Amino acid sequence: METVTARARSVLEALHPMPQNALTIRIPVIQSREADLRKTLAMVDQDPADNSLLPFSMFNRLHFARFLLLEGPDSPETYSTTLIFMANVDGPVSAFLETLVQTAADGLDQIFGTCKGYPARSKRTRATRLTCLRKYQLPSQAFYINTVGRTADQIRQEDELHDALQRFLSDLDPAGFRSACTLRDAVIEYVASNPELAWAQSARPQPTRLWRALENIRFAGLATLGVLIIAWGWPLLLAWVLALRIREDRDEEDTHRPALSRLNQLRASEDIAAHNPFAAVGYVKPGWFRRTTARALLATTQVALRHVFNRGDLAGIPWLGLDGVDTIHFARWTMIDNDRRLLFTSNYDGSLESYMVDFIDKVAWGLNLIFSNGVGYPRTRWLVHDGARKEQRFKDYLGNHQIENQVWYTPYPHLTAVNIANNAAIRDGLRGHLNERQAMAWLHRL
Amino acid sequence: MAASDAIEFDDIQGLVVRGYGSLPAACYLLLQITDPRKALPWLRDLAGQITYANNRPDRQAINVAVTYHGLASLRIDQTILEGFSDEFRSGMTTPHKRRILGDDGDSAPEYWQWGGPATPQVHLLLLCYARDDHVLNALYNELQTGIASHGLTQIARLGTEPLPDFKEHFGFRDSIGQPYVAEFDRHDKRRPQPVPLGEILLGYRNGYDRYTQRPLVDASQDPDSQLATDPEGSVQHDLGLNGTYLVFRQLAQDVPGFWRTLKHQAEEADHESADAVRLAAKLVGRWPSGTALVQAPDQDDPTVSDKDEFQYHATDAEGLKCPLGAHIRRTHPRDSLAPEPGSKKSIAFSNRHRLLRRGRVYGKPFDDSLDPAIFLENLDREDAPVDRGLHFICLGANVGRQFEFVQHTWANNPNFNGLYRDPDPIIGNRHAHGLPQDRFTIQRRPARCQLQGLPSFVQTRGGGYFFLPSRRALAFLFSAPAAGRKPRKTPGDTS
Repeated sequence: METVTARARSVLEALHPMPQNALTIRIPVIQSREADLRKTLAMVDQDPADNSLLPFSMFNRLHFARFLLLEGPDSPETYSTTLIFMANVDGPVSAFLETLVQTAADGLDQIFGTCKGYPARSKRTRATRLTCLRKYQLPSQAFYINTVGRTADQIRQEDELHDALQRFLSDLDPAGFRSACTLRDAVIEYVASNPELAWAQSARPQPTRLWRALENIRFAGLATLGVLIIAWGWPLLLAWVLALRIREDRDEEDTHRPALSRLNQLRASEDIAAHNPFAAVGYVKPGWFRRTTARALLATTQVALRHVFNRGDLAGIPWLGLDGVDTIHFARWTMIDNDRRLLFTSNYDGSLESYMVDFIDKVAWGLNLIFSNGVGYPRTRWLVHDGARKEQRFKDYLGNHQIENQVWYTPYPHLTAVNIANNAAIRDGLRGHLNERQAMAWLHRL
Repeated sequence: MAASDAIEFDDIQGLVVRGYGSLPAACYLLLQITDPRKALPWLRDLAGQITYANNRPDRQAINVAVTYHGLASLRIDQTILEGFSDEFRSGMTTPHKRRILGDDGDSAPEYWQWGGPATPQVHLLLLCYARDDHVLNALYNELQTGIASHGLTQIARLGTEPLPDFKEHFGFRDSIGQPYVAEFDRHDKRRPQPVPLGEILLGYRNGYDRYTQRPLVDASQDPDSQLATDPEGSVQHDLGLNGTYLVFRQLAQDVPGFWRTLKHQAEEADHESADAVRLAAKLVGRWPSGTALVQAPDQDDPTVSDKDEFQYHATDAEGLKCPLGAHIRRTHPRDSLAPEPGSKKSIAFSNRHRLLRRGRVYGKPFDDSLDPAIFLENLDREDAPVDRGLHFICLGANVGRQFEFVQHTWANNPNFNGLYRDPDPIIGNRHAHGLPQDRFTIQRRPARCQLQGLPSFVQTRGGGYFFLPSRRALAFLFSAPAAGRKPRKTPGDTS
């Protein structure tokens, strides 16, 4: 049954693909090879962009990538450590996997050769490697893309454009221009006369009308479904919420502080770029009730992420007075071990302290909705209140559940999500008519 | 008088509520405890001489703070030590702290004059204030005699230099923007949206309406009940209550280098009508008199009486008066950042990242006038570099969310507030994310002008995280070996 739905899903996705996709591979490690694997990953992490094994910078459709080593759910009693590879890619995941197998077979062999299920040395071909990686692929229940449709190539190009325009402005005496419009004209002329920037004059490729129509139909369908569920199922939903409310008070809250040595170990690899990778794993509260709640909330979240929060602002709902967060590039929620555990990973701007502050100050309600189904999460009220707002408990909770990334790659280490969005707006402003006020606002971006 | 009666001012060290402005002479003593057995009686004596907030001294004052290693050397039980904040326990020089605080290159802890790996471990900080040098020296001599004979070593005596009009060495008035805590208000200034007391002191509700992490002690570890019970309601005793953390950074300032750069940038690039002082004001966000650019955008207006009474969003959202990356706009953004710039929410956010500054200046001024115009007349007057700068001290209940956050997320962050390669022009690190970060953007119409290749003007020369205990906590920490203290090692015990 599961394979049938999976196949149906992949057919649907091929017909109506998302421009950015999340790849997750989770494969069991051979216990005796774990030390070798750690060594190899440490080597890759020395220079994730240009190392000899898996030089990530060669993949121009790749945004962020990482390797994690995750202990099994019954560790230490039972060894079942897994290697997790995650990538955020432009275009279909299958195309990325094919490129990976074609161009980095040796690196893959050295890394995944330490895992169960990877083809034996004599049987390694492009096809067997690919089959293996596909076999260990995992779906994510929710996936956040800062701006749907923005490719890694576009980010790189628009960064070059920004740099070129900064140089142009610095060589220029802006005081010599009477108006913003005339200065903007000079900038446009500079771009036009510079063959290396010629691409910037044309609009970036937009999704087809058909694609957008299908997205809208999908959203409309799901929203209708939601309305129907509420209209018919409200007594059940109400009972569900009341049952949750009762459990909230009974659930144990984790009160122990993470060991300082553990925190310092985690911090040791943080804050080397404008953004950081975050990874945390925790147990879902036992029982069908919490698992179903978690699944349902993740499914709802996924609809909101794909159809509502897809333009740079996560969870901002102005008419409810809720503030969003514009510092997250990608994030995903992945249920693992038969829904016993939830793995959360993200790429965010700034330090972990500022990330946690953003969580607490701005989107505590959203975090509470999902993570309050996790064992030990700071106690919530009515699913959205308290929880992450309990600053110290929440920070301790994250410290207890955060895990180390063995390898992390970022293709644009000096850019924040706000920078990237600004660069795109600068490019957009090169075309079309702007009045004096609009031209002024556009120049303010530089 | 709005100062709250509910607060036990006689339990709080005086530095929390006042900077001892009427005691212009000051020095800081950094001590190491070499023999805790001998040191404890003297420290108990010292505790009796500490100046508390209920007292307004007119002759002299002493406050005392202690490092994590200091507490460990007093053999405070590990279970108690673990209650202190992660930042306090980690110290300022871990690889990660160096990175976020910007202490690399010339500022690396290896080169520090104190507090780094190359110098003796600091245990105690005595902050001594006096009405003049004569009284200060007498106080110092008295302390020094005690120190030498009581199992303590003096690592350094850091002098200070009172400059007129609260100026710092670059020639700007400093210490204007201070967090307003209603409970400490002695002049009935009443500002809207005060900073919650728990942001400044441990044991009170903070900006999230919660109690900040602090050391709590089992009743059995405090058999004489020297500490108050936990105000949050647990059965434990509160070692943190009425105490706070103290961050100390010795920051050397290159005054001729600063003005030479500004003169060069102003003249060569014709920034700010070739006026170095105007350009410097853009970097700082204030004029030399302390008046903010938002209050007086075109020229200095020393007559502005309340130099702390302004916001950014309504008058200067685009940074046309005070650049978005200016020093004071990033170390205290007021209402200019998300969520909802211009709103109470934005100010509440800002209020959770405030620093109560209590530092003092050290070293002879470049010119006694402290007037940048006179500095600029002869920038080559010094044959050799002169050691001068700021003993930066700030107090706060949460070092990670306050000092470290301001230093990293706002000051050192080249991408602050949508900028690209602009660290804080005064104190920001000039290298991050594998790139030089040395630009400063002045928002303008029709387009910005930008300074490039800004060198650093400030170097870190020492520093540490300290705990500034309450009167009760001092009594507890300095009391004779008790349950809260590990048993003294017996000969032959090698654990």
